Amino acid sequence: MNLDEERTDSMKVLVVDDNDDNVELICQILEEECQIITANSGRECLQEAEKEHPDLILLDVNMPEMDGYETIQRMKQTEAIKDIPVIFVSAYYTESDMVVKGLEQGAFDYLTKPVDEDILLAKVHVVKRIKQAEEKVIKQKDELERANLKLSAADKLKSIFLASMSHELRTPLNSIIGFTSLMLMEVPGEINQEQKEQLTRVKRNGDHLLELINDVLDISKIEAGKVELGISEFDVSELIVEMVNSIQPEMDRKGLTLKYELPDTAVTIQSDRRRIQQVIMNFLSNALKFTDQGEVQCRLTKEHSGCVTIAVKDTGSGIQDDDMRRLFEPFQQINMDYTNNYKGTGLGLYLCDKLTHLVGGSIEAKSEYGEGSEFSITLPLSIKEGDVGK
Amino acid sequence: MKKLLLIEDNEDNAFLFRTLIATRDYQLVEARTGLQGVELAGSDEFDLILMDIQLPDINGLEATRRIRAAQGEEITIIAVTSYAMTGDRERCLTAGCNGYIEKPIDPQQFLHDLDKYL
Repeated sequence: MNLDEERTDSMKVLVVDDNDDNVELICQILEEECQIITANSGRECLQEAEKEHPDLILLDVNMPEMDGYETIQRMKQTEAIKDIPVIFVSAYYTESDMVVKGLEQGAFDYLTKPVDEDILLAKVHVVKRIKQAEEKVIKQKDELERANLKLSAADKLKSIFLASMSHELRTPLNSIIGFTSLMLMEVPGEINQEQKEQLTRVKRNGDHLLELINDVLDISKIEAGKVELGISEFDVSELIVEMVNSIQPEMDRKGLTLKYELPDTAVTIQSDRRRIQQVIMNFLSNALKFTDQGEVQCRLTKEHSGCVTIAVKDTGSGIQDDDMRRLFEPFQQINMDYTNNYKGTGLGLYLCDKLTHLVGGSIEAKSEYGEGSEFSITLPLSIKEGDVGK
Repeated sequence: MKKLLLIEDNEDNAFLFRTLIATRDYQLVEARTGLQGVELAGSDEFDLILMDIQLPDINGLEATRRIRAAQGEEITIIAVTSYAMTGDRERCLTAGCNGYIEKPIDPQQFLHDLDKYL
C-alpha cells in the first residue's frame, strides 16, 4: 500500500458532543474505518482541531457555554482550521431555517439525532471522496509546478547554449569569410576567373551560414523576451530608398525591374528602425529570390487610421493556398527539397512575424499562385519602450 | 608610423588580422593572452589596441579595465568579438572600449574602420 492510499484510507474524525453517550454512539459506528478523536465542548473542539487537524468534525449544535454555531464561527476565523469540513449534529432540526443557519455559517452538511448509522457513514464517505479528490488536485498541482520549474531551467539552458554556440560558430567563420574575402580582394595576389568563381561560392555559403546563426540567435532572443528595442524618430521613405538602392544591383543582375512608390510628404514615425529594416529587407530578398522575370515593387502608404503600410509586391512564383497557412511558421520554406535553387534558412518570415509584433505592427501576405505575391506590414506611428511585445 | 597592438588568442584569426593590417602602413605587435596584452600595452606606446574578448587567463573586458587604469583615456581600444548577444556591445563599452567590431569581420569594412580610428 502506498503512502497516499494509507493517508486517505484512515480519515481522522473529531467527534464533539457534551453528552458522552452520544460521543460513544458515533464512535461505535465509525471506529472501524476512521481514526477518532473526541471533545466535550466547543472550546475543546477548537483546541483539538488545531492540534490534530482532523479531516472532518462532527459538531453537536446544542452545547452549554459555546454552542455549535459559535464554535464554527471561531473556526472560520482561524486560518489553520477554517477549511476543515464540519457536519452539524442536532436533535433540534425541527425547522428548516435552523439547518440553513448552520449551512450559511459554513457547515458542510447536517445530521439529526438519533444518528442513523447508514446516513452517517454515507456522509462520511462523501467527505472522504472530496478529500481524495482534493489531494489528487494538490498532487497534480505540485507535479505541474515541478514540471514548470524543470521547463524554465531547460529554457535557461537553451539560451546559454545558443549564446555559446553562436560564439563558437562565429570564431571559425571569421577565418573562413575573412580569408576568402581577402583572396577575392586579391590581397595575396591575382586570381584567375575559375578561382574567383569558386571562392565566391565559398564566401556566399559562409555568409549564408552566418545569416542562419544570426536568425537562430534573433529568434532565441525574441522567444526569451530579451529583445531591447532601439526607438528613434525616422523617415520611412528615406529608409525605403536606402534599402531599394542596396538591393538594386542584385535585381539588375537578375534582369528584374525594381520600382518604389512613396507619398509626396515625408513619413516620420517613432519605432525601431533596424528591426523594420530587417523585415522589409527580408521581403525584398524573398521577392528577388522567388521572381524570375518581371518586377518587384515597394510601396509606402499612409492609412486613414493613422498607421503606415509598407508593401513589397512581386511577379514571382506565388504561393499555393496550402502553403499560405504555414507561411509564418519556422522552417516551412515551401518546395523544400534537395534540388531547389532557393537558399534560405526557413526562418525569415517567422522572424518577420515576430519582429513586426514586437514593434506593435501587423503582417500580411497575399498571393496568387503563378502570378506573384505581396507581403506587407502595417505599423503604428509611434511605440513606447514599454509597449514591447505582443 | 602608427603602432597597433593585437590581443587575440586564435592563431587563424590573428593571421587574418596580421595579413589585413600588412596592407596598410602600420606596425603591429601581437599578444596571445589578456595578461600578455596588458604587459605589452604598458611597455610601449600604442595608437590602437584590438581586443578579443574571450581570452585565456584574464578576458578582454578585464584586460581593457587594467589598461585603462594604467594608461588613462588616451589610448583607443576596440573590441573585436564573436559575442553578439544582447548587451555584449554595452559590456565592452562599459569596460572602457571605444568601439566594437563584430566577428566575423568584413575585411573591407574592417580596414575602413581601422583607418577611421587611426
